[in-house]
Amino acid sequence: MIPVLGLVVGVAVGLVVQPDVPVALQPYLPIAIVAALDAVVGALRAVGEKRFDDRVFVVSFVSNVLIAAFIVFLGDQLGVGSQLSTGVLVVLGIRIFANAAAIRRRVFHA
Amino acid sequence: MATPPTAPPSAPGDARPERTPYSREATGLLDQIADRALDDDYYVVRPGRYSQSRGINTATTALVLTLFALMVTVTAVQYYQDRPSRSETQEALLGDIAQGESRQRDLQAQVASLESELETLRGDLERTPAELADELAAGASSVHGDGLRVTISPADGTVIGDGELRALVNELWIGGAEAVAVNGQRWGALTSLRSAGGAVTINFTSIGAPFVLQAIGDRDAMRERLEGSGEDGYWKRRQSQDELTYSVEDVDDQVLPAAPAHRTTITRATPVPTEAAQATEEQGAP
Repeated sequence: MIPVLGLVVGVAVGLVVQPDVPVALQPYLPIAIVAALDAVVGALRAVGEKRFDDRVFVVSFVSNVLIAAFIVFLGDQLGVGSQLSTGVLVVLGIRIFANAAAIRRRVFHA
Repeated sequence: MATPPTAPPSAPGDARPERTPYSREATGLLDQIADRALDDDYYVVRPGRYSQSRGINTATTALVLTLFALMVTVTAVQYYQDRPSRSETQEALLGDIAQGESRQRDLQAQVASLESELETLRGDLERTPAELADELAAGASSVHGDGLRVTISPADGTVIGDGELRALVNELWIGGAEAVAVNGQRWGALTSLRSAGGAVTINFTSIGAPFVLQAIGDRDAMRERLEGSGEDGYWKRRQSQDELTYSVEDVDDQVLPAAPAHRTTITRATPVPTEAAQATEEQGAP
């Protein structure tokens, strides 16, 4: 189970090294995490539907994170950072919940 | 709402396109987002009902998941590290608030004490000796001196009327008292002693038994007057009937407070010019 190993390694590295996030990147981290979570939950659903593909996963993960960070950046530059972040969070939140619901239906048949 | 306004009304046989996850009419933005929650790419790359996942156990997947776990952990760690400083800041601010409030209280107390001191000093400055004497006579300032103390403690069931106390005070005045107080209430220029609602009231303040009359003045003269007027005999007679206890004592240097300001302040009565003052005024006029 290499993916699980990857998760464990990521947590361990984070705890051991405790890298400092550069101040310039700090505003983007929370929304990037939400975007990444969307990609991960989508991947989990795809695994359940037996249509997972690692390339799609990588591409969707990276593009989600980059686009989310870019939108926050753009919002900051335009002075509407919080509104744009809210929009991104709403969309990603709906997607996460919908995917989670699909997974739930598949696992529990309910 | 899905149909554009320019589109012709759909014919009865015109069935809507089949709702597949990756190709369908949008019914609304939020519905669309929810329905297409799974990236279309998964359906494009792995179409059909019975596809097989591919590449789950690969280094790429693991790498991306490592990155994800790292992001989450770093954020959590950073938040956890920032938290103590946040609560410290909050505590420091709360301490500042408490300190400021106590300082404000101190300053307010200081203001009050300085104002009262200022009032006292201003009063001293403005009063001439004649005014001081007037205040003394009116009962507007507290005084001390030798005199008598008459104490009347009624037994249970005995009622002392206001008239009886008034008579006693009157005899003390006649006997040469210069200042009188009843139960700590100084007799001022406007003081009345009366019965109100079953209680004896002086200076509009209710007082109860035991009644203590303090008088500053010539002790011998006052005693003589009390005995000569029959007051002394009256109270002693009641004492002998076990209705009350009555005593007259000599007291050295007793302090009598000032009468309340509302019982010494004159607002409507104005002095009538004396003949001498009138004479000077007439001479001064052309």
